[in-house]
Amino acid sequence: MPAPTPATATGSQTPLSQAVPPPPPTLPPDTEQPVRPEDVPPTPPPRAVDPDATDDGAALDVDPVDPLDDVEFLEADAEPTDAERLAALPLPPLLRPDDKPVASEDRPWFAIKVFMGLMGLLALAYLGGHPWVQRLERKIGVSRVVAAGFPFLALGLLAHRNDILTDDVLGHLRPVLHLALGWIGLVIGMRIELAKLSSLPRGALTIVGVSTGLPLAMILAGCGALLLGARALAGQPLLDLVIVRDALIIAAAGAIAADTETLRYGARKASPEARRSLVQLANLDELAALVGLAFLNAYFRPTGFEVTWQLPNTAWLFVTFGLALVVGVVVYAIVRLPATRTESIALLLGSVAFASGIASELHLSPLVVCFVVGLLLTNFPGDHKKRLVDNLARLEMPIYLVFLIVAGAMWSPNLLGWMAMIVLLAARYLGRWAGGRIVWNKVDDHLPADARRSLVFAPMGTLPIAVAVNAALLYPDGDLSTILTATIGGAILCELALALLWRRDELAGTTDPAKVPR
Amino acid sequence: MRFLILLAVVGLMTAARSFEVVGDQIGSGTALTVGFLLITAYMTGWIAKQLGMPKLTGYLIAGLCAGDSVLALIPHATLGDLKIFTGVAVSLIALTAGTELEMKTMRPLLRTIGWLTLLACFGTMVALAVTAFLLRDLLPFMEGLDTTAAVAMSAVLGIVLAAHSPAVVVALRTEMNADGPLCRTVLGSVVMGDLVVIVLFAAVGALAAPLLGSESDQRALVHLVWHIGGSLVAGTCVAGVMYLFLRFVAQSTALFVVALAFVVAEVAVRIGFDPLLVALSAGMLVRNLTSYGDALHEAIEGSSLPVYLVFFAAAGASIHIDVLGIVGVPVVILAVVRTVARLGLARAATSISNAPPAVRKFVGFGLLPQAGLALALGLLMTKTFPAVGEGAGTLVLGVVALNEVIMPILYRQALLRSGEVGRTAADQGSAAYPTVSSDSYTGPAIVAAWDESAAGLPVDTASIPIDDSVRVVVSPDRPG
Repeated sequence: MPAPTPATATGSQTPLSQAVPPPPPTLPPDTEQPVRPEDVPPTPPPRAVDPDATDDGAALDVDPVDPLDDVEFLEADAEPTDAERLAALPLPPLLRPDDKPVASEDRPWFAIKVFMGLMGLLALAYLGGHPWVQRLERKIGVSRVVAAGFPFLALGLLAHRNDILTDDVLGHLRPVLHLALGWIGLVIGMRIELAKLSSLPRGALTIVGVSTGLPLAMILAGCGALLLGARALAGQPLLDLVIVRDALIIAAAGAIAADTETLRYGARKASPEARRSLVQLANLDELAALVGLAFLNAYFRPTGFEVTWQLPNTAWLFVTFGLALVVGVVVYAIVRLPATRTESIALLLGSVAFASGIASELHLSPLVVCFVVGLLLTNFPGDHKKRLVDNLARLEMPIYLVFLIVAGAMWSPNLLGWMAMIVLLAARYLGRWAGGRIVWNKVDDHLPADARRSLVFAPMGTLPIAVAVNAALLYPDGDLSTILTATIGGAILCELALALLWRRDELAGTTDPAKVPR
Repeated sequence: MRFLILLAVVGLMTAARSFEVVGDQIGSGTALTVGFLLITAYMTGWIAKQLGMPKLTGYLIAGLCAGDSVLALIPHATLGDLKIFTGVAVSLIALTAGTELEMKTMRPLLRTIGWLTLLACFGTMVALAVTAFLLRDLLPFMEGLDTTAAVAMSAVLGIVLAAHSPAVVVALRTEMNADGPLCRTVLGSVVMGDLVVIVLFAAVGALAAPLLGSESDQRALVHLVWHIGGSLVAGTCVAGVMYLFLRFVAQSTALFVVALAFVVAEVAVRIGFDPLLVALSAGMLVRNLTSYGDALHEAIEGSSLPVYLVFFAAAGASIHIDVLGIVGVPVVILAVVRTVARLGLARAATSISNAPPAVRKFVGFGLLPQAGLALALGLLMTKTFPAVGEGAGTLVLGVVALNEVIMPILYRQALLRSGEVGRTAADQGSAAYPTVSSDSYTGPAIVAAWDESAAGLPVDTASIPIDDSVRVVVSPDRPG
């Protein structure tokens, strides 16, 4: 059952919402031989249509296309020989030669370069685990930045600049990005246990709404103005929804407070209960960001005759959450199957790849779909959670590091991006501080000042990078360099600034690091 | 439940495939396909096991059903994108094979392996070449070739069709936890036999090229030396890197090995090396020259199941059943001749070498499966002999398709009857791995602890940065 081709306007009365691919060409009565697939020309490019076309399809102002117009039929007596039929069979794609072999004369040097790269990686791995290096990291206050994996971004950037991670290799690694995005979404979803949210302080939703909504609005305004200004300087049209979309992506990424070690460390003096509340607030923040991403994705997506599924934008929200629910139930059934550890890992990998793949295939965000799947898995009953968490822990590091390396390789910093990063950080801190001032006076304030300060200076974590990479995959027409520079740079600086701030506290003697509760 | 899951996943896949965007470049199809193959291959593997067949036959059938021949759920282009996974899989499988070739235990079997290579490998090549020559009237691509050219073509076909499948042998051995003289003899023989096939193909191909309408490659010998020698040198370098890692770092070994397999798969092909040879020699060197063979083997084994699932399912999806409709008769005849010749000659070789009775009786069955190498040589044939290679490549596909699906079933039966099944510890990695309560999951810190415990090292839980709500429990239990 081959996948149908995109819907082609035929001028019929078919409703847009039920548009189906054109029927296969039928044979004229006097032709007895079947049409050979290779003789059927590719589907013609989509025609421009009125975007306001009504559901009954009557507004389509296109010429009817006869699907048989360009089809050549075999003559009745043109029976292909066995040799021709053999030659027509495609070889398995798995056996296709690689696209870009290295020229013969360059091969020894290329091999040496790769070997040196491997040795370099080995040296880094050795140094990274050496106690002396770890002591040095702690001394200069960057140990948490290193632990967050940000050096791997730099590694990817360097590897790309030095033609080790070439575009060709990156193309091969693209599926890993989809998998990693799904993985990150699943892990975030699995952190949220709905039953525990009842322990949040009164007005938690207001806290999240204002203290995250305000920075979001400020980043949106700031970065939107910046992108608009850049367009004006370049003499490009200003009325373009792409600017809004890109600014929204940066804002959604920049407003998030992540549940990281640094956040917990900021609230080290608070009670365990307060720290748990802090973590749950950060989780709610991530939840809000991902719901926002689902909306963004539903309203900025390919529509019309570019796609085979004709749905209003709002319906895509239902598709997003409906698909996540269905996939979640299937994955729930899969993870509950009795299995050995290696089988569980294989099934988990398969489930995440399938969920993120099916989301991406429908141009939905794998982050959002897998987040909902994770939410379902952790809140559905059963004894599967322990095994699932074990396997997630086992595979998280490799997937996460590969993701950061590939994200680093995709990153090509530009001036506009750095400017957007400055705007993002300024708007983020200002917005979170102002938002905090507005809401904390109105709600139950059992969260101590230290923890609240931690929330204001909360790190961005890696979710913003995932949001930016997600945008890079879904919207290749956007200003990706700017988005990636603003979010990656912002995430690194945010974590670094915070680590240095806590380090200053330690040096000032206000805290004994050895006695810090983790 | 598994049937229901299978149906649900196929239904979702079918629905997803009906969505298409003009000029779609996001490349999500590969992730979807990998996920789909992992889940469906696992389920069909389980069904195959219930039916008394090897699981990997189930994996192949899952791919076959999803491929162009049946449901067409996997587009041709996406299948090509799976090269990243199959490349890594080949490297990991070859590494596994290398680490299992321990000279100390192989030495008593070398005489048998030598005779098997000489008789079962060379002899089968000759038998297949003669059969192909006799069948030339049934082979469309041999129409119009004069006798000399037909002999040359037959010789090339004989060599290609004699290839073995280390991947199937290693996968079945892992699946059935088998070990003993039969397993080791089969593994040694298929590795040795495939080396012979690679070298002979290059040599005979260079001689046959002018006869088959291709330009003679004056530098064929240089290419061969670069291909084989370079691969062995690269394998030595990879072994050196692995040794240094296992000696001085020894953390997240599985991640490092997978990354290394990716580098081997990506780089080797681009510079004319054979990834299989590179990884095989690296594994052999680590096993025989260092004391880290077991550590490496365990690290690979932990990630072997996903690799096998995707590799064999993708191989199944590449099978074209329609080939059998075109060249069905010669394909069946060649497959039968290959089977009979190999079984008979293997028996003769083991009798001459005084092999143990189990080896004598069953070793031929291990030499029957075919997969990757024969297909790769089939492709190389189409490139080397453009005038006749396309048709010949398709014929090879047909024979491989039969051997790929049927022969693992026979080898499984042979292993069962030989009594070597279950001799290795089942799922060693399941012993003593730390578990974390679901409400306390903090991520990477736990991984290092697992790696240490998996490597048999004591876990220093005090060194793990843990939230006050985290419980780390070293638990010997095994899920499921």
